[in-house]
Formats: sequence, C-alpha cells, structure tokens
Amino acid sequence: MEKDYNRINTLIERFFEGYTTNEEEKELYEFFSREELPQELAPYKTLFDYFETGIADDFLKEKSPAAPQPKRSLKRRLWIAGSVAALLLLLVTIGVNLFTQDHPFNPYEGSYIIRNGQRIDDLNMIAPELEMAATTALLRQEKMEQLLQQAEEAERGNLRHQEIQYQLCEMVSRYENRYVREEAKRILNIHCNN
Amino acid sequence: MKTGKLVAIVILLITSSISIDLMAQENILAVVRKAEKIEGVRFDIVRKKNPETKQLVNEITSLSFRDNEALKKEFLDAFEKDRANADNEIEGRNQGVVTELMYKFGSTSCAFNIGKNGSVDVAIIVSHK
Repeated sequence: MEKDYNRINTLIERFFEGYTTNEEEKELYEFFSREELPQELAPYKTLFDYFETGIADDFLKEKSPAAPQPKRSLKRRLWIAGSVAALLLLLVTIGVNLFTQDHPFNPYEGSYIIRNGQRIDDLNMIAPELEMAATTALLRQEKMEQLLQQAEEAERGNLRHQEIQYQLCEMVSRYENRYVREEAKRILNIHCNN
Repeated sequence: MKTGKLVAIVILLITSSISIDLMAQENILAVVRKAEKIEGVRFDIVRKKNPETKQLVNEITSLSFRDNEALKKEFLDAFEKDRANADNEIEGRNQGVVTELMYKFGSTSCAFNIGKNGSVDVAIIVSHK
C-alpha cells in the first residue's frame, strides 16, 4: 500500500509539472475518487475531482444558454483580449504581405479606359493602350513646347535685330550731311525713321 | 482686426487663383465630360506615377473619335471660347482649315488635332512636376 502511495505522490508531482500521460491522469482520478484516502493525500481530492468532472461541468454550463454566465476574472479577460489582438495583428500582417505581393506598385494605378461607354480598369489588360495614349499625348505636348521655344527664340532674334538697327540709326543720325546719312543707310541696309 | 483682414485677403487670393486655373479651360472640360458618355468615343484616362517617389507625375485625359461632326464642332467652339485664357497657344491650319490647336494654361495643356483620316484627337495633360 505504501508503495502505491509513493507512486501516487510521484504522479502528483508529474501532474503539476505537466508531464503525466492520459493513462497516468486517469489513474490519479480513479485513486482520488475513493472515499477513503490517506490523510496526507486527502487535500488533493477536491482538486482532482474538479479536474475529472468539474471542468466538463463548467464547460457545459458555459455552453448552456439558460445557465448564468460566470464572471470572468480581469486576468482572464486581459488574456483573451491580448490573444485576440495578437491574432488580429498576425492576420493584418499576413494580409498586408499578401496584398503587396499580389499588387506590386503599378505606375498606372487609377488609370482606366472607356470603350463604347464601358469603363475598363483592369491595368494588365489595358496597359498597352494606356502606354500608347500617354506617349501620344506627351509627344504632342513636347511638340508644343518645342514650337513655343522656337517662337520665343525667333522673337528674341527679332528684338536683337531691332536693337542693332536702332543703334545704327542713332550713329547715322550724327552725320550732319543728309547725303552722307542716306549713303550710310544704303550701305548698312537699314531703315530709319529720321 | 488688421491681421484678420490680411488673412481674409490671402485666402481670397488663393481661392480665386485656384478657381481661375480651373475656370481657364472650363469649356473644353465640359465637352470632355459630355464626350465621355457618347458611344464611339475612345477614352483613356492615364494617371502616371513616378516609380521611385510614388508621386503623381501627370494626368492625361485622351479621347478620339471620328464621323461625329457635331462633337468636333463643339470641341472647336470650346477651344475658341477658352483661347483668351491660355498662356500660350499654337494653331495649325491646312488649306485654311484648323487642324491643330494647342493651348497651355499654367501646368495644364490642351491639344486638339484632326488627323489625315479625319479622326479627331483631344488630349488634356495636367503636369504635377
């Protein structure tokens, strides 16, 4: 009998350390279901009775809608909230990773085309048409910029020409003799107001 | 009081400059919006971003059509109405007929072009550089 108790003590130690097998736990429950127990092991009876049947009863009570809901302790609530938060964080991380893997950056994001009144925004499908439209429009803009630049340069050239002509006229006007002035204008090929 | 008036004037100037910028090509944009619903008009809305900065570089609204004289005339009229607001304008003619119009309104360019095959192309380019 003493040997049995020693084994039970060993099993209890293993139980609390979490090393017991199902068979060993069953052995413990059976042992503590006895009416008569040695004095030193009696305090464990309530505990093992609870593990054997109490947990299952509690679980059934929680499941039953009629049964009053037991109040959860703050520690348990925090534990649940923490677990839910961690799970959500994990799901969000996985989701973001999946999203970025499936949707790599597309420089044409938000672009679309309309054909016969129907809007198409599948970028993979319309990419060539978007490229073509963008290239054509930008080439046209480039042409416009070049033409404007040419016009600006021509205007600048014309202004310079007018400025030189004005200076030459100023110089010619200093000659007192009218015939000399006219000859100078003819040679310089300039037209002055005076 | 003086600060309040100054702030009000600044806000008024900013809002008016923004609305003037939008108003500049309002007739052209109105016809573009109308054309969007017309069958047979090819529409391309291109929003191009810089792959490095992820910032929007330009927004291009390009449309083309043919065999629609009414719409072509509406565009020509709209370009004519907005001509006065343009910073720069270029007009191309072939045998006296307007075949090309290009206006620049600040960072926005509007182009109208009639191709040799009679197709009409209109492009609005908003640059965000």
